[in-house]
Amino acid sequence: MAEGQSDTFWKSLYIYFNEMDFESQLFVKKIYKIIILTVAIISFIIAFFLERFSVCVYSTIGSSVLCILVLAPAWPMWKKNQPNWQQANQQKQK
Amino acid sequence: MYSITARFNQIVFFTSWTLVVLSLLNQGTAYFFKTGKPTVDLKILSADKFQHYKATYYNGGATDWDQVTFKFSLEADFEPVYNWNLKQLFLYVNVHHEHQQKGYESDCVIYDKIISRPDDPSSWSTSSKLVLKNQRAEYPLKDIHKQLRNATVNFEVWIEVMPYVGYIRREKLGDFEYKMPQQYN
Repeated sequence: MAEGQSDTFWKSLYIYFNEMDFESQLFVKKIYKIIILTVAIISFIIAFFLERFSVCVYSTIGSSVLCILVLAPAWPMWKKNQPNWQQANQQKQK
Repeated sequence: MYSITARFNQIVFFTSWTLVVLSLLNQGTAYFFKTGKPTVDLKILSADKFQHYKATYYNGGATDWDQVTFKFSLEADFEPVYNWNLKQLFLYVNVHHEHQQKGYESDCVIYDKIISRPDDPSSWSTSSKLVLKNQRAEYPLKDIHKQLRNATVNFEVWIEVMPYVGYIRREKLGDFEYKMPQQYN
């Protein structure tokens, strides 16, 4: 993009949801596996006694959709621990 | 995990892997429980239209043959085969007869039916029983060698078990003998 041209609405929205803190990236990486595995194991045991496998499949897919909606975009709760950026160098043009 | 597409990608494919593992567990645990053999009873009621047919158009060299259409009644109970891995059963009735002198054998399917299993297990006890009364066979039995008069034919009831995950296998449920009429009718 040329200098002086501002971002369009969709691009700035994408940039907003794309950037996430490093600490919350570690947290998200741990927690989606824990959520999906516990839901899968518990629903498999429940579906085994009910003898309906569709319960297990639908609940696993539902938990993954929930994880995608909450964990994938960078909501404000995932932007709390910003790193300490240094000051911009003001002496570029001389 | 540094971009939205990377996070989306990891969640989606982790879910796919867990579904693959769960499906394999589904198939694996099904074999431990229900592996019984269903009971079946077949009665041949009549052999209709037992005639000597002649071809009215060119059909590859066969000029005349014996043809018969059966009517039968069938009762079966598939409860021993129902488990949570079963998708549907394909039931077919096969007629096996042998040429008396020359040793030819032939098989012919005269009736087939698809029985699907409902997802809700509370209705398995009603939907697992099959009763057919005075059912006409879909396909006629034809013999090129014209040896069906006074012959002993063998009715076999087969079942093809189609699971959600796993191999498809065929089982023979029963053998029933029947003697054909002596003359055409």
